[in-house]
Amino acid sequence: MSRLVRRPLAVLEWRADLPLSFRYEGRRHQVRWILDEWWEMGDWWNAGRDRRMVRVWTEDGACMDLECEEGVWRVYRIWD
Amino acid sequence: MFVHLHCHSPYSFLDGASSIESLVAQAAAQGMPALALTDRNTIAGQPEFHRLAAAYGVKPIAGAELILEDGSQLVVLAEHAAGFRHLCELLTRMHVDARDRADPRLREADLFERSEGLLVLSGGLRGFVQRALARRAYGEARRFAERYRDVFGDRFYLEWTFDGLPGCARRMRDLLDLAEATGVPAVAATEVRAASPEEVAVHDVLTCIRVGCDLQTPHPERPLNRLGYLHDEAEARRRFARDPRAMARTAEIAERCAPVFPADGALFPEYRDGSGRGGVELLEQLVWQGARERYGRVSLELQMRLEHELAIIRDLGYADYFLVVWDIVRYARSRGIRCAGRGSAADSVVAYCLYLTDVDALNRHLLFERFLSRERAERPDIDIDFASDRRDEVIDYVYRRYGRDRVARVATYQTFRARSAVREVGRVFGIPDELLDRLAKRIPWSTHADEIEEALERVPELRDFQPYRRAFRWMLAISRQIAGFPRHFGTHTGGIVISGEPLMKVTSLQPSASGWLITPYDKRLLEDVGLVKLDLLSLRTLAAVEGALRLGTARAVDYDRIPMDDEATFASIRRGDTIGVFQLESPAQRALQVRLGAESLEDLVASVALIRPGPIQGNMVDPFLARRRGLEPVSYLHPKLEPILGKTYGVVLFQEQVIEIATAIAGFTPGEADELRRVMSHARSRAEMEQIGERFVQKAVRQGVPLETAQTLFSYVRGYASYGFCEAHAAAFATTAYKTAYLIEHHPASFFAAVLNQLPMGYYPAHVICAEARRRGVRILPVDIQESDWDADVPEPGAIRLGFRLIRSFSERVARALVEERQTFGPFRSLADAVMRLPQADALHFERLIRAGAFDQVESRDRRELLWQLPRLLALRKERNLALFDNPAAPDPAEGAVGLSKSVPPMSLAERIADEYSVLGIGVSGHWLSLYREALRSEGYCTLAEAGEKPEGARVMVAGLSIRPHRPPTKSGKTVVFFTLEDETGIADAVMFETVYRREGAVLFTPFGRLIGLSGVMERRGGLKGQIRVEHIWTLASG
Repeated sequence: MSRLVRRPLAVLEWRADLPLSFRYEGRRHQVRWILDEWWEMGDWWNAGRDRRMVRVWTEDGACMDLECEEGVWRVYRIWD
Repeated sequence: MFVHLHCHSPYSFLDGASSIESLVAQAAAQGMPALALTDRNTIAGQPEFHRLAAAYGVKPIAGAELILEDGSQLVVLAEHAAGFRHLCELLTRMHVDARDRADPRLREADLFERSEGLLVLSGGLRGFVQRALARRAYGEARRFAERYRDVFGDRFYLEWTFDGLPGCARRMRDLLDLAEATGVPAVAATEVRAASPEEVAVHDVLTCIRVGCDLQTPHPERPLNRLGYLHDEAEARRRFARDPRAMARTAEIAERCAPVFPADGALFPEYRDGSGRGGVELLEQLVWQGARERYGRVSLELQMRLEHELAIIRDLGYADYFLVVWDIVRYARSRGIRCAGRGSAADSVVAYCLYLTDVDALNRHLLFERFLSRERAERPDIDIDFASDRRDEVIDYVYRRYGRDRVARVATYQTFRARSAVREVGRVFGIPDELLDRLAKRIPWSTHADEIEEALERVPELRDFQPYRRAFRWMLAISRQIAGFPRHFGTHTGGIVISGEPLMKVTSLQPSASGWLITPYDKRLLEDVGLVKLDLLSLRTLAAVEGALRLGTARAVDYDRIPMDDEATFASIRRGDTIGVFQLESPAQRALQVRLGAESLEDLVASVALIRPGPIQGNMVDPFLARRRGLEPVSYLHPKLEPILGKTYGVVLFQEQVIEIATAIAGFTPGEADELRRVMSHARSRAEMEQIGERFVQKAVRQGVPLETAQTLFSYVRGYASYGFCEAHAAAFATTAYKTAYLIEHHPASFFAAVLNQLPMGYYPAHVICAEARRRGVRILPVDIQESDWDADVPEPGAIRLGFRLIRSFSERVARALVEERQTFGPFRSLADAVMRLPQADALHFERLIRAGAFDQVESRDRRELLWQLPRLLALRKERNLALFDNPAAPDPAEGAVGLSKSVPPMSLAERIADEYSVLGIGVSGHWLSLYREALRSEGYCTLAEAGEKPEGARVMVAGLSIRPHRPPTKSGKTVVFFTLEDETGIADAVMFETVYRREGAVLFTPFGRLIGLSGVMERRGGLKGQIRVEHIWTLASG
């Protein structure tokens, strides 16, 4: 199960061009593993934008999909 | 260095979003040394790809993406010509053996059998290896890789793709591990579907069309991201950073691949007759023999001309080409299959002497160089028309003569046009089908997919759709981008290639829907791969001629000896009575004939060339007519033009004249002059036109022609640009036109019956052909169960008995059974009798026979009563069959059927006529308009016959069925609508100009435009027969 949240995050640390740690809803999350990474082009016919998706496993055991659209990172989905 | 090795073009049918030129241009712009084209299950794009690659300086690698039996894909590249042959054989095997023509599959055993010369890539995301890795079935992936490694050795690669989909990183890692474990090298690849990231959106839409979903529907085939484009090397370095050797291998593969098409090109067979003779010697013998037969004696002029032509044919090595065509025509004639050469071949006296054409090029002073010249690299192109009903016999002969592995039909590709783009693209964007259907039906037929937006602006009947412009914006944008992309694959109407060697050296073959094997190459590019195309065309007019000569009074006609100066025929042409006449029956042609006053074949030759977009847009028609009639002096810009333009009254009408002008005025060599013609007639670039224009002017001035005259002359020549008609072709068509006019004038029942048997042909539907036949005094006898055959017949002089073939969806098999039953066991006594005796005919057949009036003579009861009775009779037939099965002596239930009659109101005349139009396409009980004549008269309408009697300038108000409204191009660019009206008294032509069209005329192009009323002015423009200039037009259909 998962929850779609699509809320902003603040990147605190980078590894290459991916977030290594970030703050979301007041909590700091440290990325332990990058599980997967993919690209989507969105609803191009409906002004949707291209985005990069990253599935991360954090030190505190959360699995999240992060999205980056035009340089802005958000938490897209949180997996239970 | 990086080279793309897995690339789709639009020939992958809805799985490639950029034209071949875009892909090649992009590769060139990125400095790539090579590019592979690997369309799905086809090599159709290879000739175009090779031509463009040569132009852009990119090395072409030929290949294809092949689908295996399990649905996984492989990329197969041809290492050299022998490998390409294997690829062609594999594709042919796949297509020939395919259970589903749209989804051919490759047997792995076939691939292994023909592995030599092929490089195989494991096939990307949909390849077996990556599919297995995605499922973590590592053992399966390994066994596959090892199997292919064992067969292909160092010619097998694991395709290492960066597709940016979920799981991509793991699959890439696993694939490199597999490479290491098996020793199979990995090669970096991107599955390219578009030249740029932006065009991936087009691929998305095309995929939706392919899989049948809209953009809101997720589908695994749809692109998730924009990474499948033809990226540059820097992007490749980013994607494949983990193993630079995999990138380097792309260049190594490109280096390994050699050209696949023969360098010298010529694959045409050598011709040998039964005694082994052939070549120039046989050709010369046949030509001189033909010259003596055609001309009686060989004059010095003829001898010089033939020697000139033969020398060129010999020097260019085309003797076999002429002999092959001669052999085909000889076969047709020996079997009584009517044929006639058309096109530029009629410029050749050799072709005339070989009986390939019927145009005397010598006495018409036609230029051989228009057909064939030393300067031109192009092969000759001889087009022959054969009677449509027997053309396939000729093609069969060609297959037998040269071998099934050396002959193939040529492909044709239907591309996205405006109507198909609207329907298919619009649906993807979720626009309601009903709206798309209405829009598509109103878009002019010839509109291209990239002209829809312009049509919405310009065409009045599309005005209603203006409010949807915003909703349509994506549909319009995508349609623009896919304009010209191939959409459907089919068989070219007459194109055939004959090869001296097995065709699979250069092409794959695949069966058409009708079973012919076709090369997938477009006809325009066959030469590039060394193939020569012959056009063995099927012409319904010749079949109609042949049919007419077997009917009624025309049986006595010797078609080849029809007098070419028959005054009655010319008088009829001068009156514009040319409905049914080959090439002269359109309203524009009929109007022209009235003004032209044709007196000889020469006038008809000019007519055929005059009613073309070029002369019309160039405003050449009126000056030609005025000079022809002596109303305007004939003048020439330069004395040297007089001998060239004399026969067309100083007007440039034919392509040959352009060549002669360039030769006489500018001293162009024949080859240079022909280059000029080609630049013009192929609508090449403005730069090319200016370049050749400069050369024309410079050379003309050097010849002593004043600068201003030379410039003016070239402006005339440029104005000719889109004529594209050569005199030889016009002369060939004019000859057939005259002969059909002769048959119509003297044997109208025979010819029109034959035309009805060949429909659809020509310009008009059945009801107009019948109206014209009636006007000429021919009686039209209805379809009759006791009298009719499958074809229309001429049972007595001056009468046509309509055939069953006119009945919509009527089966020929049923018609033949009906006639046989009637001939064997006697006439049908009633509907019941027919139902019982014709088990082959189902309810639909009987219903249509009744509605067409076929039982009117045999049954005293009304058609509605018969229709009412039909289901019961069919039930009885079924019962009888069951009873007979049990008891062969059971009584015939039809005997009691008469008692089944039920009293129902009879059909009104209007209902009968409506039924006849619906089932037969013509009214035999009367004409629509006759039903309303009284009411129409009371409102002031006159008949078309009465309107035709009115003087010039008289105002008329008429009503009728509108026929073939069309909007040809005009010089001013304004719209002029031409159409024909038909009522119970005949037909009349009408013309409607821009203002009226914009105000009221759009109705003609809507479903309400079939039955119309109009008011206007009679105009005769110097002729006897007038046309109506429309002032107001309205529908009579909705009331």
